Amino acid sequence: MSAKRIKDKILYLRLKQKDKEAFIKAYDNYINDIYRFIYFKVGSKEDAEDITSQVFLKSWDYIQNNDLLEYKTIKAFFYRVARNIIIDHYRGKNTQANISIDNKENQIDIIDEKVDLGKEVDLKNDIKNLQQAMRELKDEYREVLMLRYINELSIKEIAEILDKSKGNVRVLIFRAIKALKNIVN
Amino acid sequence: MNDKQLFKEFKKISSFKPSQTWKAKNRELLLSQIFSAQEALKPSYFNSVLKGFSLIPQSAMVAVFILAITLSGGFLGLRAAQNTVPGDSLYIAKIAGEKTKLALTFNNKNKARLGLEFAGNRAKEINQVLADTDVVEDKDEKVEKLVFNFHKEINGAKSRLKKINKNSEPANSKKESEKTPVASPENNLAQNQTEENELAKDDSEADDKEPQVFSANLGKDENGLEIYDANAGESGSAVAVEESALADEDVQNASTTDEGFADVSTTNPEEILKQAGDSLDSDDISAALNLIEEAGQVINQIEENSGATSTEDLKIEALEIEESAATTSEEGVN
Repeated sequence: MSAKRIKDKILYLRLKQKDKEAFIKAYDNYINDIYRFIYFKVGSKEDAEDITSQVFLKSWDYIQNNDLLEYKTIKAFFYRVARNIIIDHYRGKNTQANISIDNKENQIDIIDEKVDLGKEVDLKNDIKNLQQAMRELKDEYREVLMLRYINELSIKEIAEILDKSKGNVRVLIFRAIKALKNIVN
Repeated sequence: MNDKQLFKEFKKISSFKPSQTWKAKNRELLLSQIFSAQEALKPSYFNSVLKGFSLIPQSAMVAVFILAITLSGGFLGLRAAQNTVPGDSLYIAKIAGEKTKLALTFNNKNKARLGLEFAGNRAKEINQVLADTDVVEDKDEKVEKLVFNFHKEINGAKSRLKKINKNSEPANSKKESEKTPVASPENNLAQNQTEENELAKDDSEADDKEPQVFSANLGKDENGLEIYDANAGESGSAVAVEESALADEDVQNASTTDEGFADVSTTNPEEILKQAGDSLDSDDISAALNLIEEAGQVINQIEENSGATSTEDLKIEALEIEESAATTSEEGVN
């Protein structure tokens, strides 16, 4: 068992013991990734913030009342919870996955204060372009691309989140890239 | 756009993150929601103990649980076996429990006490078997076996008490020698001889006294024991008076409590054994021995009576069969 896995296990056990510091640590470690993942799924800042809060609350409740036997890492568990809440969100809104580019309300706020204005503009344009292209992809392809290239997860982690084999995930990524290239080109 | 450019675009987007302000605010909000609720439901000492138990591996908990069930089951089984008699399924557990108790007792006096207790149990079982009207077939066998075990217990208790008595005698003789001054070894030897003679005299007197304590047994009839035979006549009455006087003297000497010999005429062996136990507790070993003898004789009496009763029952049954046979033959003739 690697050091990273051991640390993750310790964090899980501390969360199980209702350790406040452990919760803060887990929140700080995973908030950016989870928020990013949710944002590119739902396309709305407010919805992304709400759903992100729900992810941490529901994860905490679940850990206290259950054992995480089927999840190897807390990270995978958080992503799984995020996916499930997003599905419920879609069912509630009765809308498809939507990365809106036309709606002014859904304009991305580049919140990183350290990034200068020029870079901010570039980033905005890049996201806009990519959003446009990815909007045309299948949900499955979009999701796997987001997890792999935006959230920078490993094949193993993606397989755990999506409950698929590593081979399946590799094939999905290959096909998703191909499809995206076709759209962009 | 080739793969490289595509991945570059993705890389740029991966730097996207939420507002620091929102992150901090959201953290505080979540902490207040989670931990303020928990403060309200603060775990009690009991819960913290449970929490401690939750850290123990499940397999260890299962093993402890099984052990607790086995021990409690055994304890409850022994409790349930208290009122069993030979023939009952839990009687073996009762006997096993008694043997275990005895094995775990190390003091001779305590062992003797236990022996009396077990003898009392046997006496109780005898009464239970005799009182049970359902079982008739092997009743006699059961009673015989119980009587045998009863005598075994009281003999065991007697031998232990005699041992204790013997061990305490040198201490008594030593005390006497300390009282009288010893001039020379020859005087010492002569004195020891005198003391031994005195002890032997005491023993013989005690032996003589013993039957007279049980003068109650002399005037017994089929129904039980009597202290005094009023129909014996003048000589008999004189002897009886002397005997009862001696008996009274022994009662006064032997017992320090009123409870010990309050009712000499009791026919309940359990009561007698209980009195013997009380005498033993007050270190009156000779009294305890006397009471044990008495209990043994009472049990013998009960056995004889039960034998007589069962013989009578058989006689009655035989008569009934004869009568019914006679009636049937008369009807046949007619």
